[in-house]
Amino acid sequence: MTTFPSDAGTSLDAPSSPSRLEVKDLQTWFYTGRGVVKAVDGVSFTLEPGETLGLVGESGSGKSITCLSILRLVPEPAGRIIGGEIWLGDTDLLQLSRHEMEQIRGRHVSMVLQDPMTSLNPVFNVEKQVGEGSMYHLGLHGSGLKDRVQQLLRWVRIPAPEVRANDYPHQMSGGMRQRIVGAIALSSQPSVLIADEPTTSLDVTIQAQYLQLLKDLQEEHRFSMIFVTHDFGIVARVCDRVAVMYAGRIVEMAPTRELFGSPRHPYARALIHSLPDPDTEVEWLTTIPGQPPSLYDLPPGCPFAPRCSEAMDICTQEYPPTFETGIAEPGAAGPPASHTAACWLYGDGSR
Amino acid sequence: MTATAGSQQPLLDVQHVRKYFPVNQGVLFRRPVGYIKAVDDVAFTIAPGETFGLVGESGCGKSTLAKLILLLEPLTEGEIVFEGQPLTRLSGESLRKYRGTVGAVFQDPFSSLSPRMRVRDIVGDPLTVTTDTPRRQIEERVAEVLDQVGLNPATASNYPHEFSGGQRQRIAIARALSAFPRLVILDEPVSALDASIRAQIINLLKALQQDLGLSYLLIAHDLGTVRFLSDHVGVMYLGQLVERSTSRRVFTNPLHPYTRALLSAALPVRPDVAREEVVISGEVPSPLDPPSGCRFFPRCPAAMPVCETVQPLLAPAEDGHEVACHLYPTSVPRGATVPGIQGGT
Ligand SMILES: Nc1ncnc2c1ncn2[C@@H]1O[C@H](COP(=O)(O)OP(=O)(O)OP(=O)(O)O)[C@@H](O)[C@H]1O
Ligand SMILES: Nc1ncnc2c1ncn2[C@@H]1O[C@H](COP(=O)(O)OP(=O)(O)OP(=O)(O)O)[C@@H](O)[C@H]1O
Ligand code: SF4
Ligand code: SF4
Ligand SMILES: [Mg+2]
Ligand SMILES: [Mg+2]
Repeated sequence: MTTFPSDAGTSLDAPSSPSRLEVKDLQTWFYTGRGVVKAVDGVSFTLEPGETLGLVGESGSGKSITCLSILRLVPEPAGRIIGGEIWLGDTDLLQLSRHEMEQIRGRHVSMVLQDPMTSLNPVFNVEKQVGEGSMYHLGLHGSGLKDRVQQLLRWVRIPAPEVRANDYPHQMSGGMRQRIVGAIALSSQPSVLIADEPTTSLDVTIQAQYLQLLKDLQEEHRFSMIFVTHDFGIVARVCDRVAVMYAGRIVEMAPTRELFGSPRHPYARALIHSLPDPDTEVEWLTTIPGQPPSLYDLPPGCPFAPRCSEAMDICTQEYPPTFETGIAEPGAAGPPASHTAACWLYGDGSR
Repeated sequence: MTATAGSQQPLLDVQHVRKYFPVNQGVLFRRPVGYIKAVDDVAFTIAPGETFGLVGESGCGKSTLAKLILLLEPLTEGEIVFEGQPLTRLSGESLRKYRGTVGAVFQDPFSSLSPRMRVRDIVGDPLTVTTDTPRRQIEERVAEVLDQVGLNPATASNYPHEFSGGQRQRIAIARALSAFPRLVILDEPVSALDASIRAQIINLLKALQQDLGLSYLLIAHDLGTVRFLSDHVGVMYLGQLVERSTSRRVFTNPLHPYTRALLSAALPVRPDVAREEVVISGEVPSPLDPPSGCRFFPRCPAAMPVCETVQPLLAPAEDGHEVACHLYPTSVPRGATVPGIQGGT
């Protein structure tokens, strides 16, 4: 029998304790009428307790599918996890039964889905949906549960929570729905929180408060976070490390400052280059030339090659493995950090 | 009179619009116990070929306003006039024509795309419903707009669930543009896109505006996008406009204390730039029971006693730059007295 991470499946009303998450060579493919979509194709990373990993990259590059794979929520039957391992503590989540996985979901690992409406049930009011996790996982009920719901709603800045708790999802604004889903994810005190673009509908002031809330809770409970976002300001604010995805793979991974300071992969460089400079007024914004690749029929070699100004012969023949490129500015304390890139430019071992 | 529209007839004229949602209580006899004043007396105009940007706190009424313009919710009070025609008087053919003239990207790209329709039919829908364009031409047009938003036209026969979040958002943009609209309501149109594709879409919107004279109502929390695309900007707080001027003025010289706090809280686009921020403290107020006087009063760092009781008017404080705040004498209503300031000027 598998034991649940850290608390060995004993008391379900204690918050789950922090565990390490390790994703190894994950492959999630979609089998469609038009062919196979390799949405995630060989993704590996680790997440230490209390750490926050930012997941950034091109729209359609596999960020959400990576997250959904960790929770084993990939839409079936078209989507299938066809390879890899996902270790939470000493449990490989891919080996668990459906029932065992349900115990993990929400309790040990919870997720804020990119689309708030798919995680909200239109026929139940906010109070019921926000309270559910605390009821099942923390064993709260009655007035204790009511108080807990109020606290969660206040945390995510829902105005007049005592009245609005009776509302249904359609009566909420876009940003309020997003915050409700955030409250649900936090409600059972998970050890890993996966947040897929959780702040896209929030104004900057509420966003700042929400990010602060996450940081405070993280300090207190030491949960780890995967934060998917297109907003590099948020990455700089909350993430310890960043992974950049392109066409189903992680093409670069480094500590946050290091990545922004000296991006290695030509896609990462081009992406950072297309951020608008707030201090100059320009007529047109910078984009990466060429079209995003179609995941249906990826050519051999590096998928960025058709758009890459530094492409070499080998780039169109063989997919580049992940190379350690070395840290540009070694940090003061802590374990030696790594800065990897999947690009032939770093393949000669000289860097 | 607004200083924004000039002498030209506005394309869209939003006149003192209100939208109240009843709050019901009781299980058997649901009776209203109050109202959510989602939009509470908002007025602005959009000229042909112009972009009006709307920013404000989450829940302040932006999407509700968009739905009123799109006739998806009935008005509680006020009037919306399009090319001189009040929307409440449209029916039959004129209504169909209006729907074809106004495109929309909704805030939630997931639930706004019908799950059982193929992308081809979703994107072609505005043409099918509001025009008599032949099928072949519709398909050509669909392929063209899909390509413009960076999606492979070969995926037109797929269903929405087969796409990522940002891809769905672009399907919604393609649909909004397919029928050659004159006005497009864009509610958070680029929030799910990476920097490069976002820039591509923003450039596309700007190019279409230059070539075809489109008008946009742009709602976005990303202030960079609003600044880049908008000619005029309105700042909303709790159902009302509190500041309105040209984009450049609002961003370089914000007058209202809420606008100032909002701009200062924006995270730097480039992470290497450090920045000081003012986080607005205090409870987020509720549109159920808005504070009397100035609605920003409970959280305003510059609040004065008068702010608690007298509601400031939106009025031009410096040439054409409108603000609703008692720091500016023009906002004091006629007859009201504020120490040191004579009302009614
Ligand atoms: N059900 C499906 N059938 C076929 N392809 C799919 C399906 N779901 C997702 N895909 C494809 O898998 C790829 C990865 O999708 P994913 O949602 O992970 O992207 P993402 O990185 O989260 O993008 P975004 O930033 O736009 O949300 C996309 O190219 C998408 O088209
Ligand atoms: N159908 C409805 N019934 C009741 N209340 C509603 C309804 N639609 C919106 N509201 C309320 O009206 C207020 C304004 O909502 P709206 O969606 O316009 O906000 P918004 O400015 O678009 O916010 P966001 O930036 O979060 O999307 C909110 O308090 C919301 O809960
Ligand atoms: S592997 Fe080659 S084509 Fe790919 S990013 Fe590196 S240099 Fe460019
Ligand atoms: S009217 Fe008073 S409370 Fe309102 S924004 Fe101005 S100074 Fe602040
Ligand atoms: Mg996604
Ligand atoms: Mg909205």
